[in-house]
Amino acid sequence: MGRTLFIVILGTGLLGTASAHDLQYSVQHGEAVVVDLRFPYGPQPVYEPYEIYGPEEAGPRQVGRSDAQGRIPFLPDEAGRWRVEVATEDGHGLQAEVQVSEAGEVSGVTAPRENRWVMAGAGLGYLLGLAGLLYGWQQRRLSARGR
Amino acid sequence: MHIPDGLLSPATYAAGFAVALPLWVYGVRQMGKRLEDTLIPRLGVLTALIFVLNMVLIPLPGGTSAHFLGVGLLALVFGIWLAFLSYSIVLSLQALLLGVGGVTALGVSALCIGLLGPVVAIAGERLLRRWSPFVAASVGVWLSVVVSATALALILGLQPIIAAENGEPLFFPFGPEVTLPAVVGPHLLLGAAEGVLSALAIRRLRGWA
Repeated sequence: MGRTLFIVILGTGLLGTASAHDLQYSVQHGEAVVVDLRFPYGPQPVYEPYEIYGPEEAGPRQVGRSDAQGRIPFLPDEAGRWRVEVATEDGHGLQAEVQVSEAGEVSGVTAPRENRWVMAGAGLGYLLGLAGLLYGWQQRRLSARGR
Repeated sequence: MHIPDGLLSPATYAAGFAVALPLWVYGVRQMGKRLEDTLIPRLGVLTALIFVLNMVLIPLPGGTSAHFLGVGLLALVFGIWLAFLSYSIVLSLQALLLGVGGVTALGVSALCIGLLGPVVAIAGERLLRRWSPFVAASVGVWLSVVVSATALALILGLQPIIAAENGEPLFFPFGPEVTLPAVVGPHLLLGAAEGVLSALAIRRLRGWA
């Protein structure tokens, strides 16, 4: 009898600890900040590893992989500058900064460079301009030497 | 193949700049010795062409994409040091204007692509020149692409060892077993195409140097 009672009491106590291993959840619905990754050509960068740092934080607040559509969602819970870092296996990556206001809205983003071909044209101009300057300098030097 | 900011540890990119800086200075001196009427316009035009080619992403089988480097062509036409200087300028403009490749990674990228590429291209071309100039140029350029890609893949892949805290990588998280196939694989194919196209171009451009 005593042994049976002991077992019942022990079992009841263990039941209490067993419930601590039960992972529970609730579903909430709200707005998230979504960083949408893309390559200029080819498929979206899916399942790429990322880290998200909160304002002034040295360690990541959130880590994971982009989803099947190359998106990284997160829910900033304080105002400040949040940093999203992505590194792909072939050495591509990015560091995007998202400024979140006190009201929890995105108030600024380090925007990716748009107008890729316009900037390429500018680069072309700088290159040819540099070549022209060098050529002019060279010609002046030769003239000074009395060619 | 451009390494963005944030993937290399400070020890790596500082070492890259420490090695690249004196080599840039040396390269400028070498260029000064070779200045003549037609060199600068020709070098400027070819460098500009390569800058544009670097912008064109070519989709490859497997869903990835890559772009021509052009450094092998520069090397076979103008030599190692002019190719190194020109490609360093290309990398700088890409980083500053286009956000392609990081500013901190400039030293490492210049060494791996801008210097190692030309050295390998010229060495490969000289080894095979007696057999066939066209094949020699093609193979030389192909080697320059593949070796540059391998060097960058190794440097990236070593970051988890170079910079880690409690076993967690602080910068780039993948080891060489991931980066080597991911980076070198696409460039094996693209390098072959670049080799053939460069060899065709060199037939016209040999007299430019």
